[in-house]
This record gives sequence, C-alpha cells and structure tokens, in this order.
Amino acid sequence: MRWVECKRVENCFVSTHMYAYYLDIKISEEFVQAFAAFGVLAFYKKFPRPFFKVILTDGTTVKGVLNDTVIKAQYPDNDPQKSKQNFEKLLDKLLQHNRQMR
Amino acid sequence: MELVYLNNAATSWPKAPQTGAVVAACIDKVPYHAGRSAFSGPNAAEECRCLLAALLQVKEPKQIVFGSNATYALNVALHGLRWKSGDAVVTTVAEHNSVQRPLHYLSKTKGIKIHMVPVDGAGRIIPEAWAEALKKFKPRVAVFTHASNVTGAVNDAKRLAMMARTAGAITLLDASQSLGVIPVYPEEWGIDLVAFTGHKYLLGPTGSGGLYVASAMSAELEPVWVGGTGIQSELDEMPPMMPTRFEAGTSNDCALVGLASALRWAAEHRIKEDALLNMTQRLCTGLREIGAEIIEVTSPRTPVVSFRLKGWDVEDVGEILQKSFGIVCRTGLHCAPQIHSFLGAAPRGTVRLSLSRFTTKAEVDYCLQAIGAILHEVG
Repeated sequence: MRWVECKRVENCFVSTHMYAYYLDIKISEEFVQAFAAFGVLAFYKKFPRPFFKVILTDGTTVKGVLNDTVIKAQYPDNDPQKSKQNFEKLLDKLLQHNRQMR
Repeated sequence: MELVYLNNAATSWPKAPQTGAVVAACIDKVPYHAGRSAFSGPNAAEECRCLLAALLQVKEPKQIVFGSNATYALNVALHGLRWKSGDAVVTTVAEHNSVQRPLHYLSKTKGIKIHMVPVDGAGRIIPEAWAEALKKFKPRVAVFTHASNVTGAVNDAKRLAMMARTAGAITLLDASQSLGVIPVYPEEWGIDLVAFTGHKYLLGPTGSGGLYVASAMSAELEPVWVGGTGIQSELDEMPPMMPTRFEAGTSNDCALVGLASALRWAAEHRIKEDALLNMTQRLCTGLREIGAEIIEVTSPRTPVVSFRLKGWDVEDVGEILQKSFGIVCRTGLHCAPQIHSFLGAAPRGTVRLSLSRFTTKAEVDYCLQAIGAILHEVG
C-alpha cells in the first residue's frame, strides 16, 4: 500500500462506508485530474482551497481538497468491500504514477 | 486562513477567559479532597456548586450532583428511577440520543413504554400534543429538551413542566443546549430534575456537567454509581445525604475548577441575549438572501441555525466549509435522529452553525460569503 494510513470515518449520518486515506503527498491538481478518467469529476476551483469530488463508475465517491494530505472515499452499500478493494488498487496506481512523475 | 468556529452547540470555543489556565494550574497543585486527609484547601466542587445554584436560582447547592457531562446526568436520572414494567414515559422526537438511548435501553430491560410527542416544523414541542400525550398515557416521567440541538427552538419549559406535573409525572429537563444562554430556573418552574453540561454555553471544560435534583426527589432516586465517597466509609451503601449519595469516586476537580472559573467570569460578564439573538438573525437573514433552505425558527431560540443547500449534499457542504474555508460546523443528524422527519430534513440531516457570545459580525459575514460561494459554484 502506498498510503500512510486508512481509517474508517465515523460521522453523524446514517451509517456509511466512509474511509479516510492519509497520503504522504499533498494532493495536486494533476492527481485530482487523474481520477477524472475513472468517473465523473466535480472540481470547485474558486474556493480558497479547491474542493473536488469524483464519483467512480461503481458509485464510490472520492473527495478532498487541494494541498491536503487526506482523501476520503465513500463506498456504495451494495458491495462496499469490493468497492474498497477496487478503489485502493486505483489509489495505489495513481500514487505510484504520481511518484514517477515527481 | 483563520479558523472560524461555529460549532458551539457541540462544545464551546473559545472557553471563558482563564479557563485553560486554571485547569492547567489545578493539575499541578497539591490535591485537596475534603475529609480525605489531614490538610485542607480550596474546595473546587463546593464553589462550583454554589455558582451553579446561583445561576439556576436554587436554594440548596447540595441538590446539584456533579458528573462528567449531560449524558452522564441523564443516565443518573433515568436509571436511578425505580421503574416498574409498563411504566409510561412521555418524551419528544426532538430529544438527543443522550435521552433516546437510555430510554430505549430501559424499554428493553425494564419494560417501560415510551411515547413520543411530535414537534412543529421549527423543532419546537407542540404543547397541544404534549397535553394530549400526558392525558392519554398518564406517564410516570416526562422528559424533554429545553432547546433543540438541531434548530435552536426553545421550548416553554415552565409551561410544559407544569402540564406534566399536573398529570402526575416526574419532570426531567435536558438543559444541555440552554443553560448559560437563556434562563433555566428549575425551582421556580417546578421541575424535578435538570441535566446540564459544563462545556457548551457555560464555557467550561469538557468533563464537567451535572444533575439538579429537587429536594423531594433526593430519596426517590437510587444512586446508579456506588463506591467510595470519602465519608461514612463504614456504611455498606452510599451515604444518604446530598450530593454524596450520587457522587461515587474521585471527582474531576480540574474540570470543576475550570467550570467554576467560567461561571465566575460569566457572572461578571453577563451574556447579552439580545445581541446574540441579533447575530443569529443576521446569519438567518443572510442565509435566506443567499437562497439557503433554513429551518425557520421564531424567538425564543438559541444561537443554533440548521440549513441545507439545494443541489448539495449536507456532508459536502460541511466538508467544504471546514476544509476550503476554515469554518468549523457540524453536519448530519446531530445525534437527534427522529427530529429530522419533522423538519423535512431526513435522511441526511442538516448543516448546523452554532454561534456563541464570542462570535463576531465579521465571522458571520465571512460564513455567509463562503456559503454564497458554494451555492454560486453549483449554479
């Protein structure tokens, strides 16, 4: 795994399958754009710290802000474990690519 | 980017001036526990009790029992009652889980029957529905919140308590969201039990809170926690006198010193209720103008405002406010799951902004600017 830590996010909503991934890089625009190929990206660039949200094809939602080191993923209810595995593979791949580009 | 803290309904920040310093000093001082050693010193708990008695306008400070928070106090009250299977409880859909979960537990373990009273679209208990439930179910206990932690709507505690008392019920008021921001007068209002916390609008540290127990209730209530008290150690049971009967174990002196300091400060610097209400109105007006869907609440209210933004998930709004704009708020069900159906906010809940006496106009305006930017982005 290429991320530092993965923690389940507990919040005050009806139970969700949300996890926070603590990265060893700061999230760049290139990194966000790389996600766009795997789903639908909404990128709010005008905010003081731009916010992004990607909905992947299996319904997984990925979100965070630029220059942060945390990315959140919320998995759909139908098969959250499978979606988690798939997302982690994707994240791993994107992080590796990011490292090679540095 | 400076932090703007609008989550005071969860816990206040900043605390009253000097609170942190006195808590820090307390932990390094020689601990004085009355009756437990040959030396004596300042009794933090007793001073705190006296200050709270003054705030609550109750004659006997000893009727205030300390605990770690309002949830603890509510459990001391609800589990301390001698329940019989089939006993009825009337409560409301506006209650926090600190009330709902103990009641649910008691329904499973003791067979009590829980009857929920609805609220209006502002989250305020409907007096007619309250009266009807009291008449229909003849409850042993009536439990209700003074102010909704979701909408800020303040209930007429005096009136609701009087109705419950007339129906023969023991009254338990959850003052977590009200004490420190609006008056809470249990003796004048004839309320038997009042649970409160020290870390919200009393501006004290976390780990402080308690339960006011009316004199007539002292013997009615069984202690839930039993153990060392430092006095009458020869007894097999808890000493009968208040507040010792309900205070087993070593107290959280540092939190109580901090709470006492905050209470002293607040007594010298009275909260300007009108100014706080005006600030809340400024926020509501601004939200309305921007196009936010706010839960409309008429006065009396606490400085709590819930809203949603069309086209946005509430969690995303909270995330953006916090991470993109540095505004701390809270999103979701706010541990009060049942009220949202009555507010039209189920199942995702709301974005909640909660001000304090320290919130500035500039902070409110910045928040409005941020929310406007979010709506503009999606538009």
